[in-house]
Amino acid sequence: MTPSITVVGSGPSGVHFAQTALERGFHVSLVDVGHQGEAPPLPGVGFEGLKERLEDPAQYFLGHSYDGVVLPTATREYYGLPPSKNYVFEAPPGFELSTDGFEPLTSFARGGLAEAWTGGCYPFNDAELDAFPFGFAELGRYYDEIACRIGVSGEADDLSRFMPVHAHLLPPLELDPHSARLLRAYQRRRDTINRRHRAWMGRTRVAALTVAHEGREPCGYLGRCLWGCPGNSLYVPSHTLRTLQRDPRFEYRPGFEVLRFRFGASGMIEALAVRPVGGGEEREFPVERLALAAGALNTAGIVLRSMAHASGSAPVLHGLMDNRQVLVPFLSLGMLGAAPPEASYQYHLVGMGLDGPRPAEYVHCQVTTLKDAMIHPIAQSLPVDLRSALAIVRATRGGLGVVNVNFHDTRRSGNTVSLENGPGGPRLRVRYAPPEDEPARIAAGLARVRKVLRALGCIVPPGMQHIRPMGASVHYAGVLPMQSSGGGLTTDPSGRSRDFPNLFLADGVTFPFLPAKNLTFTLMANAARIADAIPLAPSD
Amino acid sequence: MSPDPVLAAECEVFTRFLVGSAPPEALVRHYQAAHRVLDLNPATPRDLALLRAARRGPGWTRLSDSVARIFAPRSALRRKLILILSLVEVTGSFRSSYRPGGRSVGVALVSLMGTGVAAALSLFAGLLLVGLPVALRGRGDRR
Repeated sequence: MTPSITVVGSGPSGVHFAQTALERGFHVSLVDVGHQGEAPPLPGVGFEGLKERLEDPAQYFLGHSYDGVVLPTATREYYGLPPSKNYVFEAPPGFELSTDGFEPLTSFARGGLAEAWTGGCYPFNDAELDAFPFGFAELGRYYDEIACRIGVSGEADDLSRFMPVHAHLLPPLELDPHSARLLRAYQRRRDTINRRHRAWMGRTRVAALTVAHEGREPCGYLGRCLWGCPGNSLYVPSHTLRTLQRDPRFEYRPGFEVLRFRFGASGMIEALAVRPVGGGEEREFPVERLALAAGALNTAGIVLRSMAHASGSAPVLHGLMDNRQVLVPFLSLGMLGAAPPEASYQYHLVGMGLDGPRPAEYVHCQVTTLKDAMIHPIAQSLPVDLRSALAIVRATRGGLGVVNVNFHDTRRSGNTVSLENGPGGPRLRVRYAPPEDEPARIAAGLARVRKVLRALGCIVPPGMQHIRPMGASVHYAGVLPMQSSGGGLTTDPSGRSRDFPNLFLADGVTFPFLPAKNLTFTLMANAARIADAIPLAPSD
Repeated sequence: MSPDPVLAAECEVFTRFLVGSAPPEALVRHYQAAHRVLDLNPATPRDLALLRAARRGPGWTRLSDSVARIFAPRSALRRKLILILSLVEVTGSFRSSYRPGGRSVGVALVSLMGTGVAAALSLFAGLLLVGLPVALRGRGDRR
């Protein structure tokens, strides 16, 4: 009899867990809400070309309800996501979160939040895996496997001291003139920057193809990464989902919101309770083994609702983590007056690493130069009338960029996920408070970033750096940690729940530490690792 | 939906202020349509007074916007102008307005300095010709 497993969620963890499970001979059923976007229009046409070739460019760029127009408001965090990505953040009817100190984004899309990611792939090193119940020696081969599946471009350079080089690394993407200038400036002043500022620079590693790979095209430098890559060069998990759907042992069940699971006296899970998104009665899917990969918050919510449904109360989960991000805009003086490139990769191509007091406290920076993008959000932030602002943006556009500075996070007991009664029933309550030393850590990190930028010939406009709210990085982790030994509300090193023997937690909910790096590549590698260790016999 | 002549006239003035030429028909249509879904109406008498001053012509728009950027950055005038800019930058025929050709660093620096001086003069004139009357009218309204 073919062993079977049910997976919840089609994000990066879910699809790579499913792929490894299929490769091991399991029958895999993937339950998902599964919102989808539209296919990108006019493949082969660049960002600027769309404005001339589309029948109604305003509708594409600004949306049917003009929600792509960024108006000055006091409260809303600006993500710069275009209307074509609205589906990624669309929640099922009735879904609500209650938050305190945390502004989370959640996704119910095919592919999850990574449908709107910027593709950064950074393996954790041994120092960053120190709190995990395994090291790089165990995870390394799964990074290799994921790189082979999704295609990661980059090169071994000065940043390799912070991130191990894995196999199957594709040649790096072409640099735009501004990014190339920054790297040349770094090479000229490398010794000073390394020694005085303890900073290193190099190419970011990105899940974008430079050679054709499994039906996906190499990057066409169309400047449309954010809007939806028409050649599928930039990897998103829905690519893997489409591959999985060709396997007869894979069953995709979209249109269902997972509410909870039902378990017996021994804790063995017997069924999954779901609600059709389009309306209708709650129903159950029988389950032999269950893997939750719905994203740390949704996975935690499913576990809590299941426990509450069975016993009438649910525990409080501790240790929520997220990366604090700070955006530091800069202007390269040598690029003043330069025209933005006609053809470019839109996201970051250059990275910067600052070593920390301890290796795991490394500060990770992605340097994105302004290429094809909407400029009205920038122009309105300048302290002059809009006509003058437009003239300033025209003169400086080729030299504008932003450093996204990421800080690590640790599990702390005050940062919790729990259930509370809301108007529509039990809802997730998320509470977060930053550590006391965070302001000093941020100030020290930013001071070093500014010094490095100055050494590269850039100016940092005063007062324009932006500390993003917690939740904005969308790197949530930590509330059901994996540990070598432990009690309830933890998993063993293979991601297997200590409360429910046939439950595997395959996403970031189990990470016991959150380095400054984007965690998505590690989510995928860890999910593959967990799927590789599932016992074939249910009783094992 | 029939066109609103006030919005159409406003759109023309504001587009001329931003890029120096009249808006194409599609831009006017989207400007009007956006008013049906976005919150662009003046919320206070001061907002309305700024908007009225800006509607007099592109030069007045610049003076009013200079004042609004500093003293009323979320006013209806600013929101309408940002909407116009967002529509301008998705209109291919206005490409040269938002996407520059290459210039030398020196020329760009001189251009920046000129822009800075013009912006400062505009703010000064705006305070005298728009800001002061709007503020005085606001005081009169409160009495």
